[in-house]
Amino acid sequence: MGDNSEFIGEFLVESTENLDQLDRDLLALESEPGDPQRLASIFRTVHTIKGNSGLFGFSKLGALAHNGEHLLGRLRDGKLSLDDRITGTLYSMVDAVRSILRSIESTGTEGEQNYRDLARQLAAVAAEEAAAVEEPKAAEPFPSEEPPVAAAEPVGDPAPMPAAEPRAETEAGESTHRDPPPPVPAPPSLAPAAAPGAPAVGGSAADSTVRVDVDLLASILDLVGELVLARNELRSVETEDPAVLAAAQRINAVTNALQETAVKTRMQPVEHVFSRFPRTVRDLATSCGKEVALSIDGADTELDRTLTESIRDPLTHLLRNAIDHGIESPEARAAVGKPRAGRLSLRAYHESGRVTIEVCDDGAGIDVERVRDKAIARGLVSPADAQGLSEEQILHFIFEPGFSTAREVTSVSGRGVGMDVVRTNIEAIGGTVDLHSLRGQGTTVRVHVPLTLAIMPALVVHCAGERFAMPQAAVSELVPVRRGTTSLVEGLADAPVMRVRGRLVPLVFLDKFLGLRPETACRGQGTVVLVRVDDREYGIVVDGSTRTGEAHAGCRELLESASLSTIVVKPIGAVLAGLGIYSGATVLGDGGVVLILDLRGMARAVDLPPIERETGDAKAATAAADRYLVCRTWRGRRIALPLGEIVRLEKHRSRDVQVAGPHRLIRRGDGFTPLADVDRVLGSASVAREADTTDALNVVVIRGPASDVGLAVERILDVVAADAPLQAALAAPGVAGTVSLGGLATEVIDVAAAAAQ
Amino acid sequence: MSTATPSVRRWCSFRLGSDCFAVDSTGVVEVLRSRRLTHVPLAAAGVLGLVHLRGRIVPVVDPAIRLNAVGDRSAAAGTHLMISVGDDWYGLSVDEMLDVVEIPDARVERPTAASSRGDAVAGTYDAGTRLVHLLDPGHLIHSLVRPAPHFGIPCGGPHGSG
Repeated sequence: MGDNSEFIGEFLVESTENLDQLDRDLLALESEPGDPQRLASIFRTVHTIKGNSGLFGFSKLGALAHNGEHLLGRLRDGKLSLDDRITGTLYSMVDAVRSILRSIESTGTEGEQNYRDLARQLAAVAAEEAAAVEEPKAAEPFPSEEPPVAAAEPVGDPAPMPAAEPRAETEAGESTHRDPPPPVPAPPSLAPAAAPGAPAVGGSAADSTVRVDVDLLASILDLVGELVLARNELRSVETEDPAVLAAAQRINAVTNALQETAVKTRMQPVEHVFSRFPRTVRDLATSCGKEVALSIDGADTELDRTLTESIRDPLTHLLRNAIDHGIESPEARAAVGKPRAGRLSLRAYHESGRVTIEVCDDGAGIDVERVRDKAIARGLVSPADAQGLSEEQILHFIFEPGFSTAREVTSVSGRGVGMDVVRTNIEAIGGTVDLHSLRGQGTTVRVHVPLTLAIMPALVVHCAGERFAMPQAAVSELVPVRRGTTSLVEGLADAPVMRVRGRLVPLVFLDKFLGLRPETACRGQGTVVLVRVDDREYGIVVDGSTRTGEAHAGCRELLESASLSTIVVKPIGAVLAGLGIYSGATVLGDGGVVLILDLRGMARAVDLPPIERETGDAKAATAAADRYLVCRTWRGRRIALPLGEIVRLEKHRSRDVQVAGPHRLIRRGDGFTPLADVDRVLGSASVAREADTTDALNVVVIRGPASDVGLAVERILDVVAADAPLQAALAAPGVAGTVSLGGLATEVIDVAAAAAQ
Repeated sequence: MSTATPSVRRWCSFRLGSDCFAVDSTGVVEVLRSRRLTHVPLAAAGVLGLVHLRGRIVPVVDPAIRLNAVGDRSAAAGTHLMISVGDDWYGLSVDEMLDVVEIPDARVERPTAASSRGDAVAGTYDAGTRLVHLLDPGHLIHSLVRPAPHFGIPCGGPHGSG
């Protein structure tokens, strides 16, 4: 055994992979019965397993594979046609082979169980149906039920399937020894099932790959890193010697190529995990009595190999949930006008520097009300609090441990069994899970997994003489801090904001945030990197030599201040990661170490509010409710507007304001928006300012009863979080109350009254 | 006396200011010279920066802060003694590398409880011409890289109160 163990290990790995392929082939075969290539591929796989098991003396395995091969041979030769029963039997065979392989792996033996029934079933299916179809002769060569031939297997325990062994030997022998004949099987109709070309073809795929220890790959990668540094040192050596220069040039090129190649060895397509899902889904659907069409997208998305294994179980769980509880029975689906077969899609893609894997079904969705009731019943939330929660917040209770063990959840909402385990597992590798569900239309669960050790494109920015990298996927655009001579930064020093296409985006001055400079140097010149993570959007202001000039010149300069490169994310250790603002570090081409900013962590550190979605959903509004936009009216009053009520901030030219009777209107897009004067809302006369030379008019757009309403203000000052709740007792006409903002009592506009004006 | 007993360990000694310190040579990975460090904003004061070594990103710390090194530190920049502590590597910024000394365990004097250098110094050895302070790298590093207690608040002292 000592000599063999290495080969057995290889045999196990190879066979397991082959079985995955076999699952895929069988699935494909179901949709396209009789595809000769698929059949040939399946046949080959089983044949190889049979041959190898003979070699190592695994008699049960050999017997099973032999019977399977026989059945497959009949299929391939067209003596049988594939139906549900045959497919089912073949799947059982694959499962049995798998469990024997597992047993060999863990105990070194084939295990206690004998698969006599299964073998008998395989033989029966092959024999009986062959008789039914045509060729009764076909059944003869393998009368597996009776044991007519003595067990001749020399190794191992008494063979449970005596009939098969000797034949397995002879047949395998025949086919391998008769290798030379042309690979295309054109057997006469009565020929036995052996495939002349099969063994030769089976070997070829394995030759292109070789198994390497992951640790070995890691150390190669580390050494390449060292080589890169040495190369850089070489580059900085001052020399005129052409021979040295030429050699340095070549070393440079080779090092770059080597680094690129070495990095790739860490990556693995998620295909590796996905490949087994079609089979899982098929089995689950069958056992639940559902019809499910699975579509897989982005299986070539690459993820660090250390992470691919960690996502397998959570994803399996999500698929199980979707099929068991999400997708309705074919009858129920037909009744509501959906196609009988539920759609289940599995999608992987890169997003915001992470890999997102989406499991989406078009099933019944989750009944939010029942989740709410359940959460209240379980004491997770008080009835009063539950009323104030958004649907999304309520759905999140599904991830609570209290929801997981309960069987009732299945009857409640259809989802949630073990979702806390999914979340725990994903969070363990630094990922997140979110869930969206529409009653009657389906549920989508997204798993976001970090690329801890992956390569990713990153934007490298400069700030106060340091360089920092940020995941390019999170960067939406670069904007110069000033246009022409005006700075686009608004707001107070404590809460700078910038207006980007009407949205008010909070800014973080990187130099000040990181303490690189006591006061930012980027207010007047610099580059704003707009980033979006999760539901937050903000701008990071970094150094950039944006001169006053036209937009085109600006673009080029922006690129000078920030550059794109593909980086290898390296861990920086718990100590620095604990700061929560760096997600890792990387080594750039010049050998310099650059910290990677954790954009989520930064958003948390500066306590940015979630942005209001363009659709303006209720959740964002509640989250933004305690933050106010502070403005100054034309009369010089300091007023505040709840941020959640604001649709957009716009700048218009004063001369674009049109007067129609008592109303003043401003053209926005295709239509006119009524413009209200804040001073008049507050009950004072508006200031005559039409004659003003000021061209720009700041307009805060709020949602009115019929259409949007614009509020003209003199100046937008800031966005501030309230120190204390609104004091409605101090209400006045047009004023909803007073709130303390930055220590100053500020009147809050009664938005409803303003909109009605 | 019995210099060749098995209880003799080799120590890598180095100078910090006017004092001499040493770490067990089995934990020494490499000595780096004139490698540019990447500054880590907001990290603990003891963290000087990061350096790339054999595929790893290694924090370099300033042991002088913890060891109260005094004297001329002008030449401090540049020499990093890279050591392994558990699975992690760290760099110690030192003023000058000195010899590797063989020290019998029996000749090591345990520090007094009231040492200002606390756990970071595991013992002292009288080398005749000078005292060598033998370091416990684990304790030393731990006390240097501990992050600031409250993120965003300067750990120096109470700044803008009110």
